[in-house]
Amino acid sequence: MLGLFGAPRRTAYTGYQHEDAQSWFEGVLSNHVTMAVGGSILFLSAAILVFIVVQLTWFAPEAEHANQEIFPVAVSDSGGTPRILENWKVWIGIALVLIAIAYTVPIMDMIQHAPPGSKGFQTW
Amino acid sequence: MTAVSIPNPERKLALTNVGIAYIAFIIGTLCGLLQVFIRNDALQLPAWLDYYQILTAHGVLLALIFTTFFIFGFFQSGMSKTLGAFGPKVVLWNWVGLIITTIGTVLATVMIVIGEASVLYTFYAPMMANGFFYIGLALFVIGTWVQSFALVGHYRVWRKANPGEQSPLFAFMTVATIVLWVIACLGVVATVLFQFIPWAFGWQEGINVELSRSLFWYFGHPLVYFWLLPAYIAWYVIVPKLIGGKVFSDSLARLAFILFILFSIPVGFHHQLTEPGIASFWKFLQTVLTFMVIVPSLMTAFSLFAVFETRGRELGGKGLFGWFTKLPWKDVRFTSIFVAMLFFIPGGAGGIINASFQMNEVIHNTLWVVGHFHITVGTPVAMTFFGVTFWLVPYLTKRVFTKSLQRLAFPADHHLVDRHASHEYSPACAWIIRGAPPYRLYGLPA
Amino acid sequence: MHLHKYEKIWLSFGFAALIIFLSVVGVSAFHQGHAPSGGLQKVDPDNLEAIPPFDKPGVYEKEDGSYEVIAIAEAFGYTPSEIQVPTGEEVTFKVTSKDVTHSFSIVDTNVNMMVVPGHVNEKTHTFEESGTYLIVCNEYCGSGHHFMSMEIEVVDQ
Repeated sequence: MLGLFGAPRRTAYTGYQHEDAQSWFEGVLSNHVTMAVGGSILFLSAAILVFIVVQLTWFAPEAEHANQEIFPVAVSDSGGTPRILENWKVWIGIALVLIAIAYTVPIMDMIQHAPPGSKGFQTW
Repeated sequence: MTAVSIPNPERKLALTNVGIAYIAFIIGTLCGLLQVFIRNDALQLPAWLDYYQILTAHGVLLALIFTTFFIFGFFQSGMSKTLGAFGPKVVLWNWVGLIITTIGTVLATVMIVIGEASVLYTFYAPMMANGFFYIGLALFVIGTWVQSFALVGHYRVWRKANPGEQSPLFAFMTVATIVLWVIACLGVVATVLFQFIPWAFGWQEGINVELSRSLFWYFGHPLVYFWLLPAYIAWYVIVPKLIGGKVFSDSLARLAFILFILFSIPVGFHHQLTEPGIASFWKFLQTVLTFMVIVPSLMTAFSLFAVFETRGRELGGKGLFGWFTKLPWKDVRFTSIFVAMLFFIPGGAGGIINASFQMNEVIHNTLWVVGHFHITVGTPVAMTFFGVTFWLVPYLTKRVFTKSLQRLAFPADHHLVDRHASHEYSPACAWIIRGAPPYRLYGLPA
Repeated sequence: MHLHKYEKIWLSFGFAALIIFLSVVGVSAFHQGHAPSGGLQKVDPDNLEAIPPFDKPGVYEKEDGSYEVIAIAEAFGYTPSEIQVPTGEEVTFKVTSKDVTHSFSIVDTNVNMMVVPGHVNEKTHTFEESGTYLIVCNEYCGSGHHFMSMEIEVVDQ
């Protein structure tokens, strides 16, 4: 939400000495404290979830035939479904044509009018 | 299909995939937690670790590794369930693919951990990571391709054995997702193999930055749909069953998936609207194509709520909204997915803003974008996968999802949603409260 | 293929909204000239000192009274690091990068451009209010990314 006010993403702790920048993190909804509390609860829930997965994999009671979990697939009446929907050649063909229309010219342009290549940088 | 469970080879395969997914998940969320404290200045990292390294790990592990492994586990079990047992070749190639994917993952993760690849998961040139990071990425993609082709092979065997029949909806949707994935990956494979690897190992001196960015985003946008479509499979095929209903319309469901393939790939420029080197006309053309994705999205929303209403009424719900109360709210498998769907509504609306050509300048690369993908992927997709986990894992391990575990699942779920939403994204409240000048919302010139 | 009646209504509504919306965006972009930043000029990022106008970054007043700002981004800062422009005049920013990809984003305005090495990105903006504006880099560019900023002083003439 701070994005609307221009707070940049992908930053570590930021100390821009400018009033616009300082106001980003002063709101009720958006200060650093709520962020930290939120993050902690979030992590705790994730841990519970993983705990459940571990339980279900190794420790939960083994199922009898009667209470075995099913793979819930709903009934779908494909009686009225047109055949052409499953003709993959048609759809893949159309997809490739659309891609060609949208990309061929600009990509060719990038290759033909390329600026001198950049060398690599390790800036971290 | 009389047996309740699928054969053992498929169970092992799917469980391995889901297991790796959750290992990545827990590490990735831990990184997320650390980030919050660093931004907060409450935590000083040891010298060998830095914020951007953790951020890279968070992005790669959650967005790429967790989702991809989980999706393949889900596909493998579903394909076996709906099309019948895998042949030995299908099983073998699935394992080969899984192993290659894992090797790639480990290689890339190691490079991140030793600080050779703090390039974030978009790895924009000309920031150059260790060449092995790119090799890891390439292996990861190739591994998923091998698994994909194995599943498509299984589907073709079924088609041959059942000439002229429509495939089950689950299998159809799986194949559609795989088609999307394979076409989309062509872009990233091209840039990694022909641009990044020769350049990072010094065989080639310079790199064409804009080209690499375009190829990346050719892949980057459909990548999102690769996460989303499996969630949609759960919404279309699994959820109706959980609430005891039927799929609303088979043909519309299939049509929606095809439209997603068509309109999610030729649209990558909408991530590059504020960049030089691409003529405005092409940016605009792709923006138009981007918006076509609204059509299958609306279809999806309609079908889902139609299923809910039909079922609610069958259960005796009366009046305009009476059906709503009849849905099985106590079933965490249903509730978590329903909440996920609700989150998708503002997520989608926010997406429309992002893609809106001029409006993009207001939000490009701000925290708003972080909010957008957290609320679309972070919340609905992950929530749906959690909802799936609650039955898929016990289904595969033949164990019981006990009452006490179910009780535990509820708070875990709700907190994940609430907190994620409120600490990252509530643009609507924020700009109402703080009165952002309206012109900025409409992208008009200031 | 059978379509439910309500679904037809719902989809036609969606379609109509889509077409109206896209037309508005298109007209505003091409007829009124509100396209996002962009530019097709190329430069050699290793040799900027020798290429006009990037050999002399700074603020220039043009003959028609408008202004041009030439700036270079590099990890982790901008050249020049502080500039002054007047209110009410068109200011065209021309920015390129010496090393990795950065951005040039003026907080509280619609100027938000990607700075890609080898390319020159352009955006024209008119400041209506005086004051000090903050420019930040919002594309991750390395360990000093969050320190990368500059300021623009906008003064009434």
